[in-house]
Amino acid sequence: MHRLSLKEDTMKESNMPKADFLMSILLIVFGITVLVTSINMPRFEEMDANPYSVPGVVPGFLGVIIGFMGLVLLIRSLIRKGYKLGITGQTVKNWAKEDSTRRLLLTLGLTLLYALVFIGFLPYAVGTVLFIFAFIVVFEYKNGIPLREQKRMIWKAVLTSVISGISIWVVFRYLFLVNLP
Amino acid sequence: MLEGLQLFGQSLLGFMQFKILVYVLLATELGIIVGMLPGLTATMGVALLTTLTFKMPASEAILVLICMYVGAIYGGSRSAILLNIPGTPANAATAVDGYPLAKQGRAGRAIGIATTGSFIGTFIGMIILALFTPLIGRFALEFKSFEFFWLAIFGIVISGNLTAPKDPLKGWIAGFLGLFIAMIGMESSFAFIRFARPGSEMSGGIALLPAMVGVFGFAEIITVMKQSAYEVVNTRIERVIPKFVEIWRNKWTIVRSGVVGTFIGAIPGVGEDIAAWVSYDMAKRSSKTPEKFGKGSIEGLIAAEAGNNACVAGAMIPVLTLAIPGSAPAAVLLAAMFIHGVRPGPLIMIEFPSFVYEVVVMVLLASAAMLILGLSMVKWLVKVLAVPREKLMPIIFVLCVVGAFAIQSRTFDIGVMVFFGVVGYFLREMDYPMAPLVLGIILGDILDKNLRRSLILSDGHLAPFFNQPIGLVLFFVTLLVILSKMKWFQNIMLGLKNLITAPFRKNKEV
Repeated sequence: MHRLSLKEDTMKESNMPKADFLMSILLIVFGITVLVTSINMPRFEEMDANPYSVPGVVPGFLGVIIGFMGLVLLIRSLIRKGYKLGITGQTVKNWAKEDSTRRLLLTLGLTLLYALVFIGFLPYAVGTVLFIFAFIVVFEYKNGIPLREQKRMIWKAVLTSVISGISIWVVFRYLFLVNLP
Repeated sequence: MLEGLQLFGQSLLGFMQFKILVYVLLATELGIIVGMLPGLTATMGVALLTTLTFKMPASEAILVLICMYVGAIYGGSRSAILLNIPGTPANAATAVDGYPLAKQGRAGRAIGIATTGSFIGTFIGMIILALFTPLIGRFALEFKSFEFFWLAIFGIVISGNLTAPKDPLKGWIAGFLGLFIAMIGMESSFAFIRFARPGSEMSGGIALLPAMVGVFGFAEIITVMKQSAYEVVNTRIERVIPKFVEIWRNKWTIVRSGVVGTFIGAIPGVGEDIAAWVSYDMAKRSSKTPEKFGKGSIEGLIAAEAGNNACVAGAMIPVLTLAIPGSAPAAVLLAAMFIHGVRPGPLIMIEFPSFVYEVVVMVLLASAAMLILGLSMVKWLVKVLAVPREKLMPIIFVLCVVGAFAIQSRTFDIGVMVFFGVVGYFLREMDYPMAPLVLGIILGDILDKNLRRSLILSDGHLAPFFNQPIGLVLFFVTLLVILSKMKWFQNIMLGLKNLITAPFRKNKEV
């Protein structure tokens, strides 16, 4: 059903109770916080408000349900021994060495840099071209081969980023009259 | 009925303009490309086009969006067949039999059959949409606060159940988190700002579109980039137009898948992927040659594609009659309707009766365009799949940022998109489905208003929640859906079944 390979799938299965354990604690804390915040919301008694119509009723109800489901998840993960997190220096090292982790972190880093820093600090078109260029180069760069021999890839990246960045800018801004950041 | 046909004819004539037909072809072709590209889903496509069609007249904009939706759900079958990677989650079942066919050198034939199956599926869905929308609309007029409260809960529970079949608890958690997200911002009775500082950007609430672009666009980019690269296969594509016999032989499979797909589409928040799997599964069970499934069965391929495309029309039924989306792309479509000033809901058959038939015509035009485009220009379009993801994903992310920003021009919405993308990615990794979350964001407002209204009407008593016929039915169905996933309940039911059937079995033995 999924496109994950078998190995990845079984690794995921064995880690699931641990993830559930952590998530359940988060959900319980979240549920309680929501409930307490909802109880402390104003009741508008001076306006003669119906006590069942005050703002806190529905979020309070949701807080209780989320907390309860967190509790069920907690019990289930405890039965499956999810509290044995088994995080050691070695497991973290192995995780960090994996190729997929490297790609995950690179993707997150580049996209967050663009969305949260480039947009707003750089002119839109400049930031966009720069981001597309950096993304292509970072992922297509081959370790171990001198940069001189990868010139073709760099030039192609320049071309792709300039054409696509500029055309997105022009098409949205002038053809579809969309506001751009 | 006759009045419906008349409105249908009028709408069809209204759309017969050169400009509009060009829009239909362009939007459907764009949809096919979006669907083909792994990492770009139908939801993303519809969300992006919503920003592009922002300034168009309402009916043209919605037509373009429906074409994109139909095109994308169909287009995903191309990459499923050629790469074994479903272009959208809806085409996962297509890959099971489509890819083996391609490996046997019958890619063209598989594409042709998938196209025809999709077309007939959409067509069946369209007929059910036209027949049932007025009926359900009339029925929905009976809904009051109690019923809407139960409908919101029912929607979350059933969506959570079906989108997370392995672990429904996670589906329900995702749904209730979505309901909570809808609580953020100003509420309607006292203008009190919940869970945000007054005056902050959060106090305006979390907008649906940036959140959706995050969980379905950005999260998908992260998922695609994390996986190792896919190989582009070079398959020769021969004859695409299918033989009539092949389709005719599977006529009952197509009709069954079309009907099943449409009804699954009509269930709130349960989308094309589930529709395809259920149709596929049913086809396998009633097939004379179930052993061929998974090895390149034409029957399986046609069931999956007819099922997912029929779901598109089905998902429109609750959008129009209850303002509740039947699937994730339909949620964007619903948001787009509100942006363009069309207010779907129980009053639609009274306020805008012609709009319902316009939507039916739009689905018809989109499916016709899909058939024409799907059977032509196949060799040329397949080249799109050769674009490497390293070049494609940054461009898609740029589009995500534009899509989140454009409607309200707030930088805050980019932050919302990024937040939902990252959190959504991790939730998806932990098997939390995203469709109930999005459904929750939409249903949150309905739940808030109707639970409070109901409590005022009942003066805090719970009895009225359970003594109205429609509400009671919804409650029992919800309860049954939850209980059906519990082991002890399954055991009791099995025991009961044995108890009841035991005397008959004894008689047989005698």
